[in-house]
Amino acid sequence: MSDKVQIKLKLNNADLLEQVSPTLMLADFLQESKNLTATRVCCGIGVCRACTVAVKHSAQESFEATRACITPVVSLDGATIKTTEGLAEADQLHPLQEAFLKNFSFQCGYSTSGFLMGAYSLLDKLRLAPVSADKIDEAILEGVGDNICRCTGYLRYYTAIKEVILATPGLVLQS
Amino acid sequence: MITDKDFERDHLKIPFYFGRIMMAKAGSQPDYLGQPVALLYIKSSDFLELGARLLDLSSYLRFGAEASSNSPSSYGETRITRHNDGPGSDSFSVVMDGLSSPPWEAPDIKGSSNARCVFYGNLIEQELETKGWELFEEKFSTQSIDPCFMESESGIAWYDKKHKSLNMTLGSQSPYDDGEACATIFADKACPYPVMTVKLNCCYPGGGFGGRDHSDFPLYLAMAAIYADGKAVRIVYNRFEQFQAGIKRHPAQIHEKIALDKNGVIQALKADIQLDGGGQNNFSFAVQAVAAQNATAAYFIPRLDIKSKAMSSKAVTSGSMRGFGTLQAMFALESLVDQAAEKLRMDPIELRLKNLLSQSKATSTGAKPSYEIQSEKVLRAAQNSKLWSQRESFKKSKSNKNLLYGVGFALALKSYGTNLDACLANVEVEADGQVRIKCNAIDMGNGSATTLPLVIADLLGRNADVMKTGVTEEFSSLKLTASFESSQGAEDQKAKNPRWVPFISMAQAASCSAFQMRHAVREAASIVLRYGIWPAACQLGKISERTYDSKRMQWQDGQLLIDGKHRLSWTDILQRLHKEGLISGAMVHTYYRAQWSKADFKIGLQTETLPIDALALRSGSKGGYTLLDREKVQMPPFKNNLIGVDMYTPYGLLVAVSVNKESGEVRLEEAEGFIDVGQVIQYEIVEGQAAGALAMGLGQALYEDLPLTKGGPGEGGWNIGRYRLPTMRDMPLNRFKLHIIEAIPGDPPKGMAEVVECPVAPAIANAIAHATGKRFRDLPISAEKVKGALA
Repeated sequence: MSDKVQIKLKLNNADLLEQVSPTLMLADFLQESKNLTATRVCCGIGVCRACTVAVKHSAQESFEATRACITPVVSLDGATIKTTEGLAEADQLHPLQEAFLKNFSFQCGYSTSGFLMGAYSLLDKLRLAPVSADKIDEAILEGVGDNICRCTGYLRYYTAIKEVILATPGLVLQS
Repeated sequence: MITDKDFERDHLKIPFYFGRIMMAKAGSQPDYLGQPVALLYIKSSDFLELGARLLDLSSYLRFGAEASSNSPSSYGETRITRHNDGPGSDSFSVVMDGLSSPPWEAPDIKGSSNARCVFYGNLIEQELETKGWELFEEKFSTQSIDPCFMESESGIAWYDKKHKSLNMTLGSQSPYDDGEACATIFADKACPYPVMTVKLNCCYPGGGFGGRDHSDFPLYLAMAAIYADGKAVRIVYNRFEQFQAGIKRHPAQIHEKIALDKNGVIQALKADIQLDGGGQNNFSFAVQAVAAQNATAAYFIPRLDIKSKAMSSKAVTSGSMRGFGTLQAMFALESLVDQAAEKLRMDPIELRLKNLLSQSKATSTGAKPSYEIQSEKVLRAAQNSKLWSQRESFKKSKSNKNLLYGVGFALALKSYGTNLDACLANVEVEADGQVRIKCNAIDMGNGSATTLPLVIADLLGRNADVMKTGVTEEFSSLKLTASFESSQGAEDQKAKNPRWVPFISMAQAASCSAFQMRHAVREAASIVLRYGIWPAACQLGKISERTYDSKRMQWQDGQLLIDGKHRLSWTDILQRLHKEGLISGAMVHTYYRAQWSKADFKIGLQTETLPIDALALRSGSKGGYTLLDREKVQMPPFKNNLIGVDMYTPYGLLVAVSVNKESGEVRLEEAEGFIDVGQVIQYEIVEGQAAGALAMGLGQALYEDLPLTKGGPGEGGWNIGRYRLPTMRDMPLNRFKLHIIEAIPGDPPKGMAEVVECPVAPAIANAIAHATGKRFRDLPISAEKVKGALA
């Protein structure tokens, strides 16, 4: 097996120094090494986006929705990673989590983490580059339009994400 | 590595249900393409380094000469013939005459059931030709698809040889039967791996939709554990393997003919349904039977001759999937009815209104539905929708040089329950105020884990705090035993044993949560209320008249109000209940076969007849469950087996589509659903199921398609990257509405997770026909097919 490589990460606000194999994917690192099991694997080839996490490569950038099943963890040296486990703060759920619960957005729940982190990255992007109200749907499709869910038909995810965008100051340009 | 040779050496026996052999034998022909050849063990530390999720071995396959199938040619066949020549009862039906099956005899009206069946089949054929009815005859096909639940099948297991126990954790829709099957494999006395106990921990699965119902995955997991020298093994199918091994929806070839009189009344239906069951029987025997039973969709049709058959093939095994044969059969009839309306120049909804099945009319088997079916209200609501009433003007205004716009409708009627419904439920109230439910329901994306905790609210004044699904082992307190009996007499004899029931635990299937599972949970909660909470409250409130009467009580803000004046807090009641050792938990078994089983139970000093057939009770906080002996049990009559099913949910779906003239791409622009679900337990779940089914049905209608053998998923090269599933981009955001028809007082909640998918494909096909003037009868209606037809 391959020689391990040392990398630095900030994972859900914790600074980590890790020795990892160059072939180890982020999804496996999270699940097997860190016991962070909210990140789900479905297709394993980066299509369904169930494994989406939020990754930021520098302080100036926004979080990017990143497919953990096809991202080698060594490629994230120096990056900041946020997973579903890192969303709530001091037992206070993130507004997206609250909105997903309120809207009954999910059913079996397997795709939920991917939708949460895709939407979380979208909110961060809108924070840096707000859109006009008529572009919100387009932005939501950009953020989670390729995520696959088999239970819900997506409509209640869409409603919840839109609610949070509209309720969060600074994400929508005032007309 | 473990192969079939090891299985043979160790006398492993595959349960009949799961096919002939589990592993293809080296040097022999496999039963089907994709059949496993070996179990390969990898140390966990090495596994992640292999990039195992990306393994696509299909390019290494080399095919030899064409070989014939080892499997039996048919996994089962059904013929539903019914003749009703005008008002009054049927001259011939399944309920009257029993099931008919081959070999067929010479037609004879006074002969055996088979001879009479052939006689009436021939008579219907004659009448089709001689009565002057308008005939519509077409061929339809539906494709093989994968349920594509998001979490692939996976599990961990280990074998404890010292204690002869097999321990497994996995997500399944049928944990009880899986455990039983795993024990059977190692039951031979010569097998060196004896298994006395299977402990199966059924965890919450990431979707199911039928695909985890009697899958063979648990068997492979059990075998892998047995040969692992006591170490724990983990099997996680990657998505290529899930496509290769997972249960598929049956592809169907349907040849159908309907006859309508001049008033638009359907007088006869003749159908030939052929399903491809793939390499193992699995549920093919049942899917083809349900396809036949539900082939009449939402209609009363007086003359029927429906033949259905599931064939074996070299394809990946087909089995249970949402819609279970009904979806395929309804695609054919709902397309044909629409075509007939067009030809007869009738409004398609008006034509449907003339032909509805209702509670007073018999279904295809000749059975009367147990509850009213409000299909008429469904149709009237759809008819009044602007999308329908103004469809011609929408078509005109929204079509342009690039797009064709059309509106289509389809009506579905789907039974809920299997008519062999065995439910287990346990409700407990704890001294700390928590209410806990355990039951054998599984939430596979159908909302059971959300809705069942709510169904006790009117009894206990609150929803459950803890919900544990997929429970089997904890119900061993009921000490149940089951056997399949083939006559009323044999069942009566068995029922003398107070532990005997026809079935112990059903799989999660057939939209059974809302009616069947709810009943079991409520019965358990009701016993806790009457024998625990009520007497505790009466003691606490010093109420002298302690006879329970639901009219005397009311829950208000978490407090129990008795006789309008005694207000008692939940916490105080539970503390008193536990202190006094009153009933704090009830564990029940229920059985439904067109009626509930009933029995007398002596609880304390009272004997009550309850709609359950086994009961154990827990008193106070300590100790386990005490089993009560039932008396005067009344199992549902054996003849109810012939009814098939007796409860139905109607769902109408209106859709608008646009068709790109150049590419042939069809887009779902708008949808409105209309449903009679009886009492609504949780509106958001009902709407969520309907929206989810719309997406799933959209994939079936337009995108998904698996080759059956060569080039198909059995080769191991399929994943979501080449299998288009609908995404949010394909859905009509802000343009889907669900209308719920007001329930008839007294109607129960009705199962609805399956029916909502059944009309999607025919509604879309009918909308495309409205838009383009072309009828598509083969699914999926791909862009290539549409483009070709428009060229």
